Amino acid sequence: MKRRDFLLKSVGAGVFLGSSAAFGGWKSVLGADRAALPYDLVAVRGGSAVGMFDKGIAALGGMKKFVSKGQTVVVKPNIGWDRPPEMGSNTNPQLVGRIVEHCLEAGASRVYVFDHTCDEWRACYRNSGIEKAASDAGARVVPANSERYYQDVGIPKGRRLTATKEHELILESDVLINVPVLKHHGGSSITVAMKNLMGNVWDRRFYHANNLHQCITDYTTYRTPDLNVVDAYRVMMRNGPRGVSVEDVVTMEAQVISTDIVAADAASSLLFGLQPAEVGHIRMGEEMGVGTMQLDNLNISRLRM
Amino acid sequence: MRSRILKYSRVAVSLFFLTATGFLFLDFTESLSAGLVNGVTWIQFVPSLLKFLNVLGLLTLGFLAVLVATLLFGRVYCSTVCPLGILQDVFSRLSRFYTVRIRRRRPRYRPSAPQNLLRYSLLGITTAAFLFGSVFLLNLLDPFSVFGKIFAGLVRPVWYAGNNLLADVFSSFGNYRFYHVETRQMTLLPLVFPVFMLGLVGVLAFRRGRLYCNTVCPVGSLLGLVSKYAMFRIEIDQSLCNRCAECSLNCKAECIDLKSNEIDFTRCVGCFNCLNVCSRQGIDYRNKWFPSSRKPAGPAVLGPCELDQIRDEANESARTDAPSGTQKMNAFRDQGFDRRGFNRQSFGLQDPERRNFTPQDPTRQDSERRDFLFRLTAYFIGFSAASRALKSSAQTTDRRDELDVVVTRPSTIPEKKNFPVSPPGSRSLEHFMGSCTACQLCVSACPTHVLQPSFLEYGFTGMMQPRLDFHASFCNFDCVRCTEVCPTGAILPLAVEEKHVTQIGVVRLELDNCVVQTENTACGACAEHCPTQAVRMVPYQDGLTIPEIAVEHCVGCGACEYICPTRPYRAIYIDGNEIHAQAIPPVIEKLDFTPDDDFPF
Repeated sequence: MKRRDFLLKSVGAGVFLGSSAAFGGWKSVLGADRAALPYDLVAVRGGSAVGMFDKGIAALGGMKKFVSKGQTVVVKPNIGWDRPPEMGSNTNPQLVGRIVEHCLEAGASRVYVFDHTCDEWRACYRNSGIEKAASDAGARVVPANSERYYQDVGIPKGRRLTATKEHELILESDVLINVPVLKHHGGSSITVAMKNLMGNVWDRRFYHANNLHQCITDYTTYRTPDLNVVDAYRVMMRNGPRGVSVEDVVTMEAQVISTDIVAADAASSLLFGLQPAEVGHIRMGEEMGVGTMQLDNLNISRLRM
Repeated sequence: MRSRILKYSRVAVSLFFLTATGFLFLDFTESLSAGLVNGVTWIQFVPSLLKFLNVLGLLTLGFLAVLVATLLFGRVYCSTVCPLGILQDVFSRLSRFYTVRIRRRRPRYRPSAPQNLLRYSLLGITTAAFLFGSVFLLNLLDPFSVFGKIFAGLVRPVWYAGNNLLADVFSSFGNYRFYHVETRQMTLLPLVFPVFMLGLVGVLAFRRGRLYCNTVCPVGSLLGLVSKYAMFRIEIDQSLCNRCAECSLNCKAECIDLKSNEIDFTRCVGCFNCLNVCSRQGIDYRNKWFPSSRKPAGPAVLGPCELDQIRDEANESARTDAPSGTQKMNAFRDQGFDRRGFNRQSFGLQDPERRNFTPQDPTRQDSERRDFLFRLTAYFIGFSAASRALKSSAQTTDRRDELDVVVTRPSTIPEKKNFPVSPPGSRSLEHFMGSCTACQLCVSACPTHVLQPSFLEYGFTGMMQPRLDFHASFCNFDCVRCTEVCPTGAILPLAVEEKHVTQIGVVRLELDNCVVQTENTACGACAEHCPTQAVRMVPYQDGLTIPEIAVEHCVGCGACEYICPTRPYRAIYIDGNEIHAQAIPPVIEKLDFTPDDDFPF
């Protein structure tokens, strides 16, 4: 799709997305197979990030459940910081690469990887190891550093965040796979899948100035990923989200995979040692009907390597 | 020693240096290693001299190489290495196109008298100011720095725009090979000076060749004094010269005077154009220290004495407002002589420049000079007065602030900053302001674009010296690019580990502006970005956390100030350190947490 098509699309984007959400949310527009998933949530422990993903996605029926032949995919890791992988500030690069490979094997025509970073973006892409891992796996690692890459979108169900600018490739692509890293966050307690979507939008300061938790939740009412893969292999337990030293990091060897972004965050917060309701945006996510944090009601697969 | 190869090598070398030096100021991809950057700037005279005084060591002896080369070959530096000089040659070249194609005249320079008073005064004042510790005049006049200001300030935005256009075209086809880049410059005020200099240099070069280099440029004047005694100098061979004046008319430095048969070698920039236009080898580049034996010079084709007498009379009469001298001169021309005494008709040539002879009026020239100096002074006085007024309003004219964020409630407490933040490695404001000629190389090289030319933050004499502008961006914790590329040693090299504990400024927190307090909502943007936990989030109320600062850990990177969402005043900001200090590295405690390997759900 060309940029000019986007300009046209962005005009109607709010209307289109609002109406699609009204008829049962984004998933109803895209995923025909979603109802057939064997589990609501898969949690894996005790292996490498890559190994846990291979096992977890197999339990869900494989990447083909999420990516059809010829579709374009955005894999959205956390590449927020100019830090090496062992700091746990960014998503595990091997995991990102492996997810890209799965998407391509499932027949994706193109896989894009990007993040609106906090630190200088090229340093983040380079030093996180994600740029290399993802492009080696066959993804297109694309920039998200300029407002020019973002298009206006409306968020009809948003309470504080009612409009924002979203990366054009999110609008353009068929599938969004959210690959956050679980870590401590000084402002929002923890950052997992819901908060990771802040990297889809241009103006992050608006979130901070206008009730961070509410804005995080508002965005998920508009766009929930088709799949969330929470990297909890290395977990930064304090001084997050940037971290000061490797002493802040523990090797937890865990992974949470779910289509329900709130459930993924709730499970991750329990891994971290927090009750889901203690985290503002997880609580609001349940209130606003984005997903559920009542894990007892879900069909969960617990796997060990 | 005479060969066409001289000019062609000069052109080749100069194009290399213009391209390489220009690229330094345009490249945003860090495609050049620090070693390569330093390799190009090593030989730039003023930066190298300053670096020598700041750092010492063999790698700073570029200026000495320039002096030695000048002593051997004359001011070849000015035509091969100096980027501003080569830029002027580009303008001169354009003027040739203009005169030949559009005005349908031949390119012409006329020999002129040296502006000795002006050029040596400027050299003297610049030197004196430098000896007293001020680099202000070098900031204004050093050709490398002026070139840098022009390229970084005026050409770089155009380059970026071209790149962004390319990125747009490619990304519309789904190709993201090129990416957008922005200068992030907040205010255009620092560009006043580069625009002025580009205008001055451009107009002078277009009309008068290298007049700037021989009138304003202190490096040109200094090297001119050295080149007077150069081993190889250009001289006219009386026995071969037929006084056709081609050399004189093609001399960009306007320094070949056929009236006295002398070449003012202090002004010769070593372009070697004269050698190539001479059809008789009547002008030559010769070793004057160890001259090769030659036959004695024969008589000139036409003795100039008679002509000179007539011309002097013409000048004299012009001064006394009597037309007789001019008439005499015109009569002389009618006989077929041009005003250099060369009778083209007797050689069967047509006079290509048959115009009414108007002698240069020396009084007019004087008044022009006075006028120029007067305007220059007026400009500076006016500029400094206007700047004082603007400085007071500078805080509120941040156009990015208006675009960026809508805040629920405006913050109320103004920021109190005492000093600007100078780059890491600059040690203190005194060292930095005393060594930086504001060449803008670090501004161009800074990957985050936090380094911006100052306007008046360092005062009028520090104009355009770069500062960290935390409204534009913030300093990457692990980046030391500016310390690697600085050509003058104003920013001294700093290892990454040293930088991690170098405090260039210190954090200030105004909780009455903070959204956590004013809005009772979560934020934590500042602590999120802080690389040293000099800002931490501590429990507040309703399960919220609020920032707390530990100034001893702060390095002054400005990430907190950059990301702080409150407007018009930020709740957290950096005040510059007058003298850079040591920060205490963050305390690293053992983490008391062993992950449970069960599923907690």
